[in-house]
Amino acid sequence: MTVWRLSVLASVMCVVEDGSARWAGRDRQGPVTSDQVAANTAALFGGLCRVLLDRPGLAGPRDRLGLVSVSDDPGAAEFTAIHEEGMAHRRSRVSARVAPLSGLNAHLATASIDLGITGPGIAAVFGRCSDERGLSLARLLLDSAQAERVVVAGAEAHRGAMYGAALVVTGSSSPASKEAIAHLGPVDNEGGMTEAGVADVGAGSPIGSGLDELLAIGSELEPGWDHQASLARFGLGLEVMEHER
Amino acid sequence: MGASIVCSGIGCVTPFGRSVDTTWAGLLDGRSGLTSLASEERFGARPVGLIDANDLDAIGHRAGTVLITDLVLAAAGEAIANAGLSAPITDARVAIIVGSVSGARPSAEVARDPDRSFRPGQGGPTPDLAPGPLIDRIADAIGRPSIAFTLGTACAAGNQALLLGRQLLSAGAVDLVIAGGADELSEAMLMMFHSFGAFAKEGARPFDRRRDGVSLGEGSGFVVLETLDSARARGHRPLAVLHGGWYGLEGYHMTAQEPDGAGVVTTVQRAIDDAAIDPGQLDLVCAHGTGTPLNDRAEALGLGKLGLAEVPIVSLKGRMGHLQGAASAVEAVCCVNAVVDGRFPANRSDLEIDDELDLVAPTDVVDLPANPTILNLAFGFGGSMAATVIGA
Repeated sequence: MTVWRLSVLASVMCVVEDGSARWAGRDRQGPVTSDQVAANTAALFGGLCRVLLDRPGLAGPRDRLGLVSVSDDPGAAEFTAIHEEGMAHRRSRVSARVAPLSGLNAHLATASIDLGITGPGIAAVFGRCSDERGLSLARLLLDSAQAERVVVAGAEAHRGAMYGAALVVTGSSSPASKEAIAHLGPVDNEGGMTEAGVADVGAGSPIGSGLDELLAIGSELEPGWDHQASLARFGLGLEVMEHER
Repeated sequence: MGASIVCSGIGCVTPFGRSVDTTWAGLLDGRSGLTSLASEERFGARPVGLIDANDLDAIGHRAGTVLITDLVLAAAGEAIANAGLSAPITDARVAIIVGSVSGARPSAEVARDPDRSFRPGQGGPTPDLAPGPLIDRIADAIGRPSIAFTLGTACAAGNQALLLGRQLLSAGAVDLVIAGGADELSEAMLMMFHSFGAFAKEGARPFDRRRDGVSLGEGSGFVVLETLDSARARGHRPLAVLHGGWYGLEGYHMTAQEPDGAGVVTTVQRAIDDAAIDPGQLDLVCAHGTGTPLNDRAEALGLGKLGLAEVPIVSLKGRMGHLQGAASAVEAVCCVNAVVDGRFPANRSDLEIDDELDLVAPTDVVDLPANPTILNLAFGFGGSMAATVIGA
């Protein structure tokens, strides 16, 4: 079993359906304002980061804060919809604004610009199991001293709903780091590099507490999708991290 | 950062050709790799960096399949062979990191509406975009990697892929890294730049007083990285050293850099600090150099603030277009090759340098000193920034 030498400082999770947001771990996060109900996954990503970083004790030097955005299928739903609209209008400013930024880069950009984060940013598509591997990338940033803390977050749109989850981690160099980084693979572990664009490869496996709620909603939205296994794997990591906190 | 990380092999597919040699020859002889776009009615007859149809045939691309996969396999395959390795690699822990702006979406666009293709006959059945088959193809060709992921940090992704690879090697997580970037041209991307008014009318003219935007292009570039000890152990002579670099976020604007070059200053300063070199050791800057008024000005201002105004600066985007997520990867390939060859290609020969830019932009091939050190810059939409320092 991978031993995660990471400490979770805060976590949050959100599911948006029919324009309303349900937040997990809300009692730990304080009230959520309407502007944090996302209009798209980039806004959701930024909102998740804001909720976390507005918490007392988490404000700090933003140039030492890393951002890791992970996804199975970044922004595909929005890209497809907006692109179609753009194609209909040919020179649509809507398409122009969003097309290249519809994926993970938009997530990073939104959070970075809105919150003044100027540390390292990684937008990585692994396919499934992105959450665990995102944590491994956080480990890499912490171990290389590029960042003191890292927000690892995922936000995805799928079949009319949006999922998002984020946590702030920190850590110190440890002999276990090598094993944690190695946990990025292997590629045949249901994932690896994905080139999926508009392919419907499923919802993400967001990160954070309140996993039962997400699991239930996810199972409703996509029967048969193996949320249980995916979240259980993450839960295992989370349990260890919580233990070390 | 510990162990010295070396570049053992390079490969690329560009508008100049399907190999490092053909690309290098095209760049050195002063030709333009830009061609007029066929779909004039949509965007005007604007030059783009399109890969030649014969080269696509030669790398095995077939209509109805995902082009980016073939671009990855062709460039990575060349890099692996150049590194003295045989694919598939089965006796080492390998990471493959692919920077890309659009991934497979352009192929999906064309499959859904063949009229959107810039290449006749490119329609056909919907390509299989599921991760499994694509990964299998790459795994079969390269060897099943221990770590594989795609980076979506826009036009800085190629450089960042190299730097993440360096970190993985330094951490001892893998033995070999195949890192780079790939992107194909898409109508969506052309539409976006057209809509921004940032699509150069007569081809990108970086640092030129007449510059009016970007010439988009497509391609792929990959570098095999390993530790110096690893290369020595297998008797391979490295091509160059990846001395260091930096990647981060500017946090300023979705599509613009800070006009005063603050992001450039941060990126370059931290990159040379990480590489543990003195700014005076830099022999050449391989610029991001998109050809937009804002980018080139910010880049010149930032470099000037660091006392680097006199270091020769070259933008390859005026020669073969902005290759999107592949741009800084292909440019890194060129930096590595320049270390070997002792020369670096020139800017556009018809450059009329903007007097407001305090820089030295050669229009002849640059003869490099022995053991040169080159800074490779990349800045992407959303504020992603990445710089690598490559040398002997």
